[in-house]
Amino acid sequence: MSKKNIVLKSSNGIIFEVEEAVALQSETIPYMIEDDCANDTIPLANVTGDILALVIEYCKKHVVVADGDGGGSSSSSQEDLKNWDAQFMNDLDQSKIFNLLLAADFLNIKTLFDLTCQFVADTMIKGKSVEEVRRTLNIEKDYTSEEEAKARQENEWAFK
Amino acid sequence: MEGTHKESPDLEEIRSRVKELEFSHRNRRDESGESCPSSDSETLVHDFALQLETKVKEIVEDYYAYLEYLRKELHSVEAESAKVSEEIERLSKSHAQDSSRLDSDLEGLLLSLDFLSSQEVEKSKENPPSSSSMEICDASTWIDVNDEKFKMFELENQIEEKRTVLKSLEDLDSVCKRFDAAEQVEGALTGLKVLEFDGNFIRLQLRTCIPKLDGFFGQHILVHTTEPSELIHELLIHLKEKTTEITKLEILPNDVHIGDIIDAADCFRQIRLHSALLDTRSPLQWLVAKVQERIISTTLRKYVVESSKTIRHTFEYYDKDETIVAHIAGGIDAFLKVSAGWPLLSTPLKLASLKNSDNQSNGISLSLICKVEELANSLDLQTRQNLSGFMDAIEKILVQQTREELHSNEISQKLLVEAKKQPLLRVMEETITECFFSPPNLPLDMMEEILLRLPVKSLTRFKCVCISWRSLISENLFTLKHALILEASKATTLKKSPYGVITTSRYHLKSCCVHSLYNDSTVNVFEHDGELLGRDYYQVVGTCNGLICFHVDYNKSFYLWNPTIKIQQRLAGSDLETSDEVVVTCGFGYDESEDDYKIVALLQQRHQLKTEAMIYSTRQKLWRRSSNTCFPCGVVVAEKSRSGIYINGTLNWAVTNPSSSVSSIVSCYMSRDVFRELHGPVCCKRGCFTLTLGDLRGCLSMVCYCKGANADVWVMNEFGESWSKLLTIPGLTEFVRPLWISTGLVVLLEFRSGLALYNCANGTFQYPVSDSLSSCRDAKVYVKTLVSPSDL
Repeated sequence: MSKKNIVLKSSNGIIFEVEEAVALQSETIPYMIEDDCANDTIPLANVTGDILALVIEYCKKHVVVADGDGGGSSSSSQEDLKNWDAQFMNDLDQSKIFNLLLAADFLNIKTLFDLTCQFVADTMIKGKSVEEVRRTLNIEKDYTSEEEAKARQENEWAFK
Repeated sequence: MEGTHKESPDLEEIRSRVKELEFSHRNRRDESGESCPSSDSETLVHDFALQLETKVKEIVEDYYAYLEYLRKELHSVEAESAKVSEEIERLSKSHAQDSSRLDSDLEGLLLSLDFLSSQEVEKSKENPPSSSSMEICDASTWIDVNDEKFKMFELENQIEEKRTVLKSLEDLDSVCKRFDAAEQVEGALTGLKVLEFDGNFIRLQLRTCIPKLDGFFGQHILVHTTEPSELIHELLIHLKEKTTEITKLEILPNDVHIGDIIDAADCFRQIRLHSALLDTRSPLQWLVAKVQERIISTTLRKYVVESSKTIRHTFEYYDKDETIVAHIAGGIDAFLKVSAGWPLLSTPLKLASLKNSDNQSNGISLSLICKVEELANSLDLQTRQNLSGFMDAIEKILVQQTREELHSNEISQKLLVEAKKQPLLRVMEETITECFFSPPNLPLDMMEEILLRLPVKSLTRFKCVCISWRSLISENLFTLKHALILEASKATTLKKSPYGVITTSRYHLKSCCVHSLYNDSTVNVFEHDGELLGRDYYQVVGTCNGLICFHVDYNKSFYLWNPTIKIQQRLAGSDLETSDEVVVTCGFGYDESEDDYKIVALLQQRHQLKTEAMIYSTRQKLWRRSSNTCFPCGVVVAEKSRSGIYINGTLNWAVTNPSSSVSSIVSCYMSRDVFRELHGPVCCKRGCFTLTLGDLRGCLSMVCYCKGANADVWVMNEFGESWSKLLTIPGLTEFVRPLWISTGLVVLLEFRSGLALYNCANGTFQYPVSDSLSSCRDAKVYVKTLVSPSDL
């Protein structure tokens, strides 16, 4: 069985050619293959080149189907994979992480989406103050001062 | 009246009858005279006499009756007249009284008239000068003329005194003019008090109210220090002789820089002299206002600077230069110029310069500084108003620019090399547009996904971030999703803090965090009976999605309780009446298909092999008999298996089958109320005993005491048929079940007398884990969620 490659094109026109097994970790891509002409490139209008490169890097690491050809796929132990994930996320800045999250959502790659969400939750938000969260996530405060004071009072135990 | 009429014969009638009698009498005499047969006449006369007698008697009687009637009439008339005379007497008496009173009144009037006239005379004699004496005039008191004279003397004296005071005041006129200026200032500004005024020297006390910052900006982190509210300063102002020109100004305590204000005040005075009074305030007034303004701004700035301190940044404010120096990690100082009005007015900060802390700028190139300054000062106004936000942005720019400067060439080279190396990655064109300063705004559904992965405390706090977050986090669906994620991740997560252990000990319900059991030298154990039903014999039925189902000894009701958010709820209609002949075993779980929490009660008749199942639904709030499939016949719930173990949509009990030596499990599917029998692990054919079920990180576990020597822990793979032995603890026959196992293979074990930690790697025990948890039993692991028992 010969390996089939799939060509993905980012929103800014960068072309990536990946093995099918790698690409199929995305649950969106199979639909696109069905809908589109499969031999052509698959345009991903919502993902920029740098982010798509990250997604592919992740998918290659996590591809579980190992072909007998001794190809590029790897089957690492769970522990190693976890460490790799942690390192992978740690190397990204906030903007990249957010874009990766949006891409994982769009491409419907569940494990990457979970990983990114958990990373954002654990490192950017958890244990932070209300003001820090607003700043980090670019959220506008729509409470009036009185409303906020009231909300703070109602949830007082969480501020200790 | 009618009776009296009938009874009272008329006088006329009596008279007529007497006449009639006389007439008949005369007639008889005539008759007797004409024909007078003696015997005849005698009887005739006799008859006549008799007749006459009766007639006369009648008439007399009538006459008497009439008299009697008349007498009565007379009496009544007499009584009448007596009454009338009485009335007359009374009237005459009152008349007499009235007239006498009138007389006395008249006399009184006359007297008072006399008195008044005599007064008039008196007054005209005295000829009093003031109207006040008129008022004092009282009938009983006579005004002493001497007294009046004395008063007049007194008044004269007072006038004399006043005049001297006036004179002295006039003498002080020039001084007063200056004093007036000070007073004007005092009037214009609140909190100012003139303490001393001596020649060319004024000492003022200046009380400054610092406005609250809350209303102005929420973006500042104001947590570290308490907000100042009022400050008291003393101002010493030296004036030039006989003018209001200020020569020297001192402030105590000297914590505010005011040197420039004197110069400004001089300028102000000059301008005021030359121009046509643009500002109506006196120079002194202007000066004090300026100083107060300075105190407010300096205090607030220092306060904000102090409060904005983070681990990465520390700040100092130099009020002389109106500059904030920010110390950034990496030994770099940023100088921020504060614009007038900040932080009260929404004016932006400005990055003035960057420097290495040791004053050697060799680490930062001039081009870099210029670039960073340019980028930083072109940030949006809002970012630049907020000190720590601005610093974060500056730092980011700095890091970015440094990186770019150092590696810009290398990066492009590297990219090319990589593109060549990677056969699958062909870079056709490259237009990297990265925005470093504003990360993309994530849509709310993405935010939700992130929030779902946060612990309860953070979530509760973040209800205050914005309104949409609050409503999202408060939604029942959200809290359920959050709970389900936590339950599901129990198997794989590295985190122990979202999980707690609930245990009962004699009359108490206690909880602690799994994390603290593993890590803390002193475990934080919370006792809950105070917030629940008080001291009672609590029995935990089970836990699921953060809810703990329990009942107490004294009543038949079941309760749901979330220890994390401290909400409990009695389950209406959950009372389960059973006879003493029935052994009840319960379990608590969640039916995802119906979104319903259920209690399953197994009722087993003593000494019989038949078990009946009852199911309580929290949605329907009632018990009903299991309709679909009956509890398997011929098996008995094992005595050790007190309450059902909830795993992944099923409730499980260890059962014993008298006809078979193999251990087995009865499992109830919550969604269909179906029971089925599963095989337990096949440890060894004989010699295994006391099989207890447990929930070990989301897996159904079973403990076998193999040959009375080892305790083997088996776990069921996925949910199905196969079992695998997880670990063997040698020489242990007493513990009940494992509660948690860490990645380092340290097992939290529940004993009948408390909790212990067993390290599989080196075979060591730590018992008890905490003194306050000794003699605890029935331990169960629960997840910390926001699911509220009152919202079900």
